[in-house]
Amino acid sequence: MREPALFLTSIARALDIRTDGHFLHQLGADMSMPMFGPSTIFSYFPADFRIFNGALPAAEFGLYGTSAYVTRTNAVNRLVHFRFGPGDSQGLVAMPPDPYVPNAIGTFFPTMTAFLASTADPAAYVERLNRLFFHGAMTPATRATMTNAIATVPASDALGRARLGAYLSLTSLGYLIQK
Amino acid sequence: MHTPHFTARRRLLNLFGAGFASSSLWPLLARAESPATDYRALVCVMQEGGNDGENTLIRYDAAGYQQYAAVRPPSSGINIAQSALLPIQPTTQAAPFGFHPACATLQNLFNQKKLAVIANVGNLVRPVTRAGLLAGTDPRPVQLFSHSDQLRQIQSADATDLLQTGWGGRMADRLPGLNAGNIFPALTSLGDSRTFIQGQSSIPLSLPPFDFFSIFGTNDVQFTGLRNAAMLQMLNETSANYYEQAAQTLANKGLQSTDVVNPIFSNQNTPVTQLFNGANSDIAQQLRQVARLIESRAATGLKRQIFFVRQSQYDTHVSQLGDQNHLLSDLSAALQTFTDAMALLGLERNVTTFTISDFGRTFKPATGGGTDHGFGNYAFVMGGAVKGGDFYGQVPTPVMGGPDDIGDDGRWIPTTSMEQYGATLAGWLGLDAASLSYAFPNLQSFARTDLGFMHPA
Repeated sequence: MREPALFLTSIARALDIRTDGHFLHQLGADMSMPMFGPSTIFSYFPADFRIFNGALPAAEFGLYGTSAYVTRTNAVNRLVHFRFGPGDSQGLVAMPPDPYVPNAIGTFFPTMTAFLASTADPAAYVERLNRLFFHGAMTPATRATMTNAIATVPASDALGRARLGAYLSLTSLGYLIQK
Repeated sequence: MHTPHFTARRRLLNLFGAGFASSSLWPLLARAESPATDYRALVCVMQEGGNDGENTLIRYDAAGYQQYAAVRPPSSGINIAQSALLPIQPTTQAAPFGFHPACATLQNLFNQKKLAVIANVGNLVRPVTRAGLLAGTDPRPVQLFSHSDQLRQIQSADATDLLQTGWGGRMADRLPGLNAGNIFPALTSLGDSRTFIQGQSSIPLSLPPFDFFSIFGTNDVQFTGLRNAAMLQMLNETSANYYEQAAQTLANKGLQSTDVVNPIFSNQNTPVTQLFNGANSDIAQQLRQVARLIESRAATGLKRQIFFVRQSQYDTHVSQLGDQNHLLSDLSAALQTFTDAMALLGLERNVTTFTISDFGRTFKPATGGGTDHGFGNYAFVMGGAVKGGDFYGQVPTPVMGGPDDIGDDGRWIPTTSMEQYGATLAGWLGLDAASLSYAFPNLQSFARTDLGFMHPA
């Protein structure tokens, strides 16, 4: 499983998010992984954590309880859709830099520029997402669901298609569990 | 006799046979046990890292304090002045004790007879002696003094380290009858996933300390429904990957609970929520959520609940005075507010809060103003149903190398096991004898299974 640090940094790399890390740190803390601040010398989760009554070693599941899907999905929403929660204001393009951190630049949300042209062909865009986020292991069912959903968005709304594809990829179990 | 390990396949079947509802409703299912008519809850506060009990409760009489100061003088860097202590006189102790200066709440509750001190609790395979341990004829907990192992064993109540589930989770496994078959999770964690909450058949609800618990919409409102439908369709695809299956189960469990939990967490105007205004420590935020869930217990319909919260960084090898003071200050304040909340709800006698910690710490100071990993430790139980104002169990003789020390550094051999401690709490919660044996498989190794610190039901 992608632990929060890897979950977030992979998103930032793939979507070309320019950041000084401060906002990502906040998102990681929401997922119980405040970078560089573990609560014990044994890091953020027990290395010997197991699931299924001890049948499977699953250290990262120490940070994945029933709330994790909601929390991670909302983190993806924040990064892809610029949405921060009930009642927030729209139009944000970046999180401002921390005034107490020298040379901080804040976090610029992805423009999705590199993906816009791909969205003209939903199937091709989904295949690109497959290679980018699923290591080529996207299931046929996921492919069909994503392609159909993206195709529902008008082709004139390339940004909407691009964001939808990214959102569905990054909230999927196929991205969460590395295979 | 421990429950044998299931095979991996049996464990998977056990997990997925745990009665998940696809509906957002929580239907009542018929059960043989008698449903409870009143409400009770246990709140487990894990002091992660190993709280130094010898600086949390200190002998307050002249001779006792002198004995303490001889081992922990001011030059040790961990001495607490006698004048700073908060005195208490336990009913069955000849001499008084003093709480750490930051533990005003604990002192107050103790003096109100709503807090009991459980002395020298720890991981035990069975009752042991110093002579037997030194001779090797008495069994030690597996990997004694190993932080990760002892932390796991204190949560599993299994010093042989065979069990991979926690006693909190195993108690939750046995609550459906008392909860009239209500399948809303009986165990809720605000302190992440830890062994304590893992059951064999139940799945704990792990919640965040936020004022909401729902999936955000998009800025493009018209696409929210489309997005969410596709997302859920992908979430519920059939997968042969066990890790995906586990994540899918947890995700669905969480999503199912949002309908119940989000209205509770997003309501800022409840009396309990407002009590916690300004309480910003991590432990206070966790207890705030617990209190709000208890306040809104009618939404779940549960009659028996277990909550888990966690406060970390008690592993004070260095800088103990400042660090422990900070932690206990936060904990004390949070517990005061939580106690006030339960009083506001009229549930003082219905909610019992208790502490666990990996182990105690060495009576002997370590270099750097700290202490090292110990063995037995004090635990604290608080609530209106507690026979407070007293100590339960045996306070160790504070002599390094003495009859209660496993070595020469003041690591006290426990005289009360986690099984006995937990079973007393579980009995108050309403578990019958068979369920107690299930939750604490090694309980029969100890003569006394009810330590007597709870008022009878």
